[in-house]
Amino acid sequence: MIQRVTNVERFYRSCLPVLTVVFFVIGSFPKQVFAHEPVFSIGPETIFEGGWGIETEFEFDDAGDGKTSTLHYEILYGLTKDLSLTLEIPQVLRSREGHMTEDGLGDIMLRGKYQLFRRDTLGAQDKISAILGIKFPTGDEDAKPRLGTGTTDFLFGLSAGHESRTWYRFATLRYFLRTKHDGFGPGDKIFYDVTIGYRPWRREYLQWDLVGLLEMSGEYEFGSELGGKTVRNSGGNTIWLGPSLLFSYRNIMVKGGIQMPVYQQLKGNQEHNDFRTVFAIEYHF
Amino acid sequence: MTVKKITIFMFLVFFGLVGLVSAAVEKVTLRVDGLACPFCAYGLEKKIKELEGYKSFEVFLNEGRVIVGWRQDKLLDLESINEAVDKAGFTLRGVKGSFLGNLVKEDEKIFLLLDGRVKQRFYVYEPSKVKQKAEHARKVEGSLQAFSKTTRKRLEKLVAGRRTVRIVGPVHSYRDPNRPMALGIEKLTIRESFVGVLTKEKGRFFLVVSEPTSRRFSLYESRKLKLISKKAHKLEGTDSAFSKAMWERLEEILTKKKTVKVVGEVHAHREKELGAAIGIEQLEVVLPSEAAKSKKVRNENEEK
Repeated sequence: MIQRVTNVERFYRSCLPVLTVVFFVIGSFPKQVFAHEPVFSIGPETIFEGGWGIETEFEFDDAGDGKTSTLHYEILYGLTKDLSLTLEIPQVLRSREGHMTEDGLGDIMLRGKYQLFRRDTLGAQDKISAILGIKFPTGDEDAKPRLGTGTTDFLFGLSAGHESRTWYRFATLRYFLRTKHDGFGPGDKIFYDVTIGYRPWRREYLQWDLVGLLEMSGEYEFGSELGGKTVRNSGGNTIWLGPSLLFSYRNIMVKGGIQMPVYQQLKGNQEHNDFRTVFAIEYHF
Repeated sequence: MTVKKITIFMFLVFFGLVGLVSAAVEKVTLRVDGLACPFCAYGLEKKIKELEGYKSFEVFLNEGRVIVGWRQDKLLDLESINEAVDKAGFTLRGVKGSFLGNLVKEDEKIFLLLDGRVKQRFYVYEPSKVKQKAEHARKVEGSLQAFSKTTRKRLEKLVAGRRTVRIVGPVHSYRDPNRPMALGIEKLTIRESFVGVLTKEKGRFFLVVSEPTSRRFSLYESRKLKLISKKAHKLEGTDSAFSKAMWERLEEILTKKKTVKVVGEVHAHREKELGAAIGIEQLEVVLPSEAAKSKKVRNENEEK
């Protein structure tokens, strides 16, 4: 517990100036903003009551000798207009680390999003949602490279957004609490994401719609623990930046984006990230 | 009378009856806040389509306006509309409607009575005279205090004449479900029915009515030509004022020299030489016997 407090303090010390600047910049944007959820993060949107959504997402991560292609299947359901549930099933198509490759089911996650605040104005919405998730150890932890962490982990977060006919902005903060398993405890993670978006053409319903986004995703990982000791080559801070696009028609959305690390401070000897890309199709019914 | 003629007669009688019961909620326009993107509006479409009275759905995101066509055999239920918008994740700010019915007066209060396939009544009021939020609004709606002197006189005339009117305006309900809803009169037009023959002059269609006095009306299709346009009167009667199907139908009727019954709103032009125009909402071919019947009804109404 004492170790955790120290970690949190250390995180804030390194990220607080960046976060302060980012939130200030976002907060000073004009009132006309939005569209839909960011591609690399989570927005405050909940689906309509009784509504279903399915999404297939292809993700490719490139980090030195490590390359991973994953298909994420997501099922979304709106229990009420304020509460939606998402089940995320990752299927690792190919994970490579040096000469070793592996594929198979990853860790399944169940996520709930509850809308704490909503303010509607003409053509715009302001929202704040709480995020709660649980990740199950369904991926093979003994595979090389590992497909799962072997731990049951928990996600807590808060997301705020302003959507309008022309602009949008999001700010999301998530804490990923990871538990220990067989003496090994992967480090907790803090995700801090900020997104701004612009719709160049104010399209009407039943017309195709395009929104361009600029997403900044921060990822701070605490050091892992093995047998009560901190693993030296673990943990660090990475900030990603890149463009994304949302293309939709009625209840179908195609989205994709690419991000490059603009800041990396990884502890010890670790593979540095090169880029990551996502392409997804979402359907609501 | 041959079998074919009897069939046509039955057909006309049936559609004549439909015409009689057409008093109804025509459409409602919702002012919805929070409509930011087309993808999000799908939830609203889905929830509106689940409404019992749903007939059609149109959304204009830039104006936050949703137009819902309403079934003539279903009562207008504002509570369910509000619930649908809320479940879709948006906020309903106001409802406007277009209603076709007859004005009636009961216990010194004036109602719009939709006596079509469903019976529904609305207290009417003049928005400039009664503020909806005012505490006393509930008491005065429908009463004579809810109208200016001019409007009151006009409404009383319409009540006495049993004229079919179209009222467009804001509508709101009360917590008490037994209390009729209230309808603010923003626009009131009279819907009339004329029997006559079609003529075509310089490429323009006219309806010539011989009863009670000989009059000539220029024609247009109300769906096709919006009266808001300053140039509207220049287009009346021309092919720009009609859909292709209507134009062909008018040509056919003209060739066969049939008598027709035209139902629609009548409006006069500022330039007197242009006369009046009828926006066609219903067009039927009538048999001579039907025309005579219509003439008789008209005479009776005038006597009354």
